[in-house]
Amino acid sequence: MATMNQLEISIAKQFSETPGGRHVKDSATSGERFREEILAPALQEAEVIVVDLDGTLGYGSSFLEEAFGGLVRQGFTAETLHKKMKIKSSVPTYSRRIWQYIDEEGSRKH
Amino acid sequence: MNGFVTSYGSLVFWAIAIVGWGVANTSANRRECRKELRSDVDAACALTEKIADLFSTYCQTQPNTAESASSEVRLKLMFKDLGMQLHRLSQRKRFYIRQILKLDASQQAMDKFYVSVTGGNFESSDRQVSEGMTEILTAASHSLELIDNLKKAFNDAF
Repeated sequence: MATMNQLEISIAKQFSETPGGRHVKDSATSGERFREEILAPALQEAEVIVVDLDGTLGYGSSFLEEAFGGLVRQGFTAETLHKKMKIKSSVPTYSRRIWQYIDEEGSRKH
Repeated sequence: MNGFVTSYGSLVFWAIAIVGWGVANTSANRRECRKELRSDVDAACALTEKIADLFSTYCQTQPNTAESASSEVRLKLMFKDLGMQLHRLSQRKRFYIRQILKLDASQQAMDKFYVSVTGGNFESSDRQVSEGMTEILTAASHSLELIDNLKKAFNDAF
């Protein structure tokens, strides 16, 4: 945790080094579980969150879509997420896809 | 004339030598840069083909098996590696300055390939082996698009 209002989430350290799958029925380390148990509560608790994607064995887009695109389906707006969430990754493809999922889901909702 | 040669002869000699060295050095650097980029682009293309091949095998394995789980992890690791390789290429000065639009096209092709392989029913217990052929063909066509874009960017850079 960097400041009072900023929360850093390391997926590898706080969730799993092998995240995978979209739904809970597919895997114990699914995007749905990560969103429901870690990501969404953190967004409600902190003003800004930093999600660190490094340290895992990689991500499937099904995991990323369900975890991050799912936030918009759950009720967070894309604008709020752009303000409150920062993505940290050594692989730019992941962060680019995450914002695409959020924006695509946001435009579908409008 | 003799006075000019006496006064400036050595200066002209050094000027020619310096210009000659500059031309030779620039040409050698260009050759070296081309060789390095060729090797990076070839590595990215080879990895793309490997991912497409492994995905084809993965689609024909039953879900929820050790073989399927192992392929899923390997595919994700290979995509992580490919993402880093493309990022490194995009940071190469010559590529970045001269090929920014084509690199952008390569990134978009990489995104489409990434989604076609690891989206949908990837890692899902509902994955149907019988539906694999369409997914294999889609991923294969996106892999070819990525390879084409990378090769075009390389060819146009030199």
